[in-house]
Amino acid sequence: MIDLARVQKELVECSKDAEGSGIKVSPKNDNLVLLIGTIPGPVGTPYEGGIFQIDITLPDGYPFEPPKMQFKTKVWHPNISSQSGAICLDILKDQWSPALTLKTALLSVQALLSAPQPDDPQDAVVAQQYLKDYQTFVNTARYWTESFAKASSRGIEDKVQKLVEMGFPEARVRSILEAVGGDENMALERLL
Amino acid sequence: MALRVIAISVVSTVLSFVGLQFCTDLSLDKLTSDGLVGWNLIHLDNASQDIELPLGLYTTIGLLVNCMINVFILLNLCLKAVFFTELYASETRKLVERLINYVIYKGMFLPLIVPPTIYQAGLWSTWLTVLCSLKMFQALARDRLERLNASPAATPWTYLRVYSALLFVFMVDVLWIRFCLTIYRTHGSSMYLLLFFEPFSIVFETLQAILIHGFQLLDIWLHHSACNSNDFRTPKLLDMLTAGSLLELKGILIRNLGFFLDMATFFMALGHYLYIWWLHGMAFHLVDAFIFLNIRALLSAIINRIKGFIRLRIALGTLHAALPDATTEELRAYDDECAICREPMAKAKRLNCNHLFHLACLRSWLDQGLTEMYTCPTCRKPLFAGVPENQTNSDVGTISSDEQLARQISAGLDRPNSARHTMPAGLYPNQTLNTPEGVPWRGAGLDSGWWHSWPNQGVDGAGPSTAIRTVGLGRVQMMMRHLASVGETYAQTAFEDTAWNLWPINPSQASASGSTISPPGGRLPERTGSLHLRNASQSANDDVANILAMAETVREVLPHIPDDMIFQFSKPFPFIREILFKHLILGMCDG
Repeated sequence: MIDLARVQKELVECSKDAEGSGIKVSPKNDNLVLLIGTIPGPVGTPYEGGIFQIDITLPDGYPFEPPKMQFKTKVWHPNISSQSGAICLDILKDQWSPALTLKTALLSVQALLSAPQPDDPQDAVVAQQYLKDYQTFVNTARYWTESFAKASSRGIEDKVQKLVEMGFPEARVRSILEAVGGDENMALERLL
Repeated sequence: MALRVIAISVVSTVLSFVGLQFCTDLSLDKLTSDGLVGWNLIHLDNASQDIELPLGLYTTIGLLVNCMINVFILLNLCLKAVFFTELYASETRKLVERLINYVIYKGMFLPLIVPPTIYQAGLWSTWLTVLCSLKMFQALARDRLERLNASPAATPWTYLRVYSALLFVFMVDVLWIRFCLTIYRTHGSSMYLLLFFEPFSIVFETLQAILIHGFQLLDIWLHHSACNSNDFRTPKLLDMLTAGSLLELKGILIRNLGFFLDMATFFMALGHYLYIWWLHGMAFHLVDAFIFLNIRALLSAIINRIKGFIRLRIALGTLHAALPDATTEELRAYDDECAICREPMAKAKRLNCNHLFHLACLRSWLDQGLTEMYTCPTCRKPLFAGVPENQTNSDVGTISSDEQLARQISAGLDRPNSARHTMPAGLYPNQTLNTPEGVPWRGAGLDSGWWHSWPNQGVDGAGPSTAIRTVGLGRVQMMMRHLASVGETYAQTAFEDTAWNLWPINPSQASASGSTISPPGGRLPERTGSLHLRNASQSANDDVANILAMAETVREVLPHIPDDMIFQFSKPFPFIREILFKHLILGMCDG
């Protein structure tokens, strides 16, 4: 059975330091088994400025079994699946230790964004691009970060302006952008 | 919704009461009228009155029962509104399932032994109704308390209100036992002894829930007080030691007293069925087959619970002997919480790398067996490498020999690790963890999972016996290696044993954490027992005691077996049940 007292303490600890590190953990609809983690993209990487959401599921054996983590935000990274968001990280598998916490696990995921390991990939396409065409990888990663990890209102306003300049009515543009989750290309396809 | 139902119940109760009053008045008026007419025609009116009286009496009794039923329903609805405010959909569905299960399993056998009179039917129906209500309230309270425990928004007041439902159930149950005692003394028949088994079972279950959730309420209240009094800077060391001692006391109490209450609950349920069987006569009919299967399932649950408790004590004792205790000075110098459970430490075990952990936390970490070598959770140093310098344990010889065994095993394991390490990196991409996934239902039932979680937060302060103390962890580790090959065959045997045990009983009375050796009672259990004994004897060639010890050790190696055992009581397979029915019917035809 999950050690719920420890999970509650971890949540308190994360909320205390959320402003400094940018890492947040919050429960999903009022239970401590399903959580949502949020990490900022590291500075100096193509992921800078992005806010990445991670689904966290605590198994029954937690803290003696590692938490299950999966990217909810789409991310272009050799060790993270671009389709499913699965993370290839040793401390989330065989190298887990009960002294690690949700915060240290999220910090490790953030460090993984800074230092990809293409020799042990989760996504072979991304790893190949990383090894053979690094600049395209950087551009693609930055583009994915701009597209999926920056859902701020200013970004939405820019997209609305761009689509309105194409001649579409503003109200329809806003509703469709909201429906597709801020994806400009998908919104354009639906408007046409 | 709840208020509307209560309003309907109130209206129904009032109507019932008015009807009863009207009928009573009508009877009185008729009696007066008959009296007046009687003076004129004595003989004819007397005959008419004799005919009228029984019908009026039955009508009055019927209305009275109806009124009482309405009052009872209204009382139940009001209590539900007071304690639980509003039921969730899942709670309602689970309540209905429990209600049906309870009425079937507890009420089905009563007609076998109760003589068919109105008074007896009324008495036993009332008995069953009251106990059923108490049982449902208790189950609802436990479900709600578990939900509140898993919710970060729970306040002490909310928790206390639901906790009061448990106290209320306990009080009413005690009063009901006294009432049953009065009835038993009045009638003096041996049949009325049956009144006591189920109330005592509910008492023990409620006591267990009161114990567990009482500590949880105390935790929430202390946490709430700590948040409020954040400005007062209490001494950290004193607070830490006090909380640590309280935590370990909680672990000891819940582990030992919980075991006793579990046993008492099981034995009351077992006595209930055995007594019904005895009153009905020991002839073997279809109904007796049902009773027998219920008794057998209860016996399996009892044996599994005892084995789980013994294994836990042995495991704690083994770790207790293998690792040195941290002294008070070390604890004060450490000045930190246990890195595994994040709780204060009043007692701790010190590893070679000078990191301190609770004994129960270490035991749970070693039980996982995620890695081949046991390491410190903080710094990943091997756990049993090198003898510590300041060895204060009196069993120096035993510890040294165990350390040598552990070192040999580690050296043996290091050799293939080194060979694997020389391979180039990247040959094993996407290597995933092979740990079996946890079944989601495991945390749902308090009876099945609660005693697994509490050892994580407490240490058994009672010293284990000398015989257990001499068993070192290295020896257990070697035994685990030796028996790993036997595990698969034993797992097959355990599954065959599981097939026979798949019989549904009340989920709240079933808690199993391991397999059991089937008592000889049929064709299939005999074969299973033979298979079990043959497999064990082929690998070990030891007597039954050692076979049992090794079987328990195999269970440590295969953590998925307890899940399957627990699964048998929580979610029975319908097709297995059909096979059992066919087996029973064929047995009847042969007999």
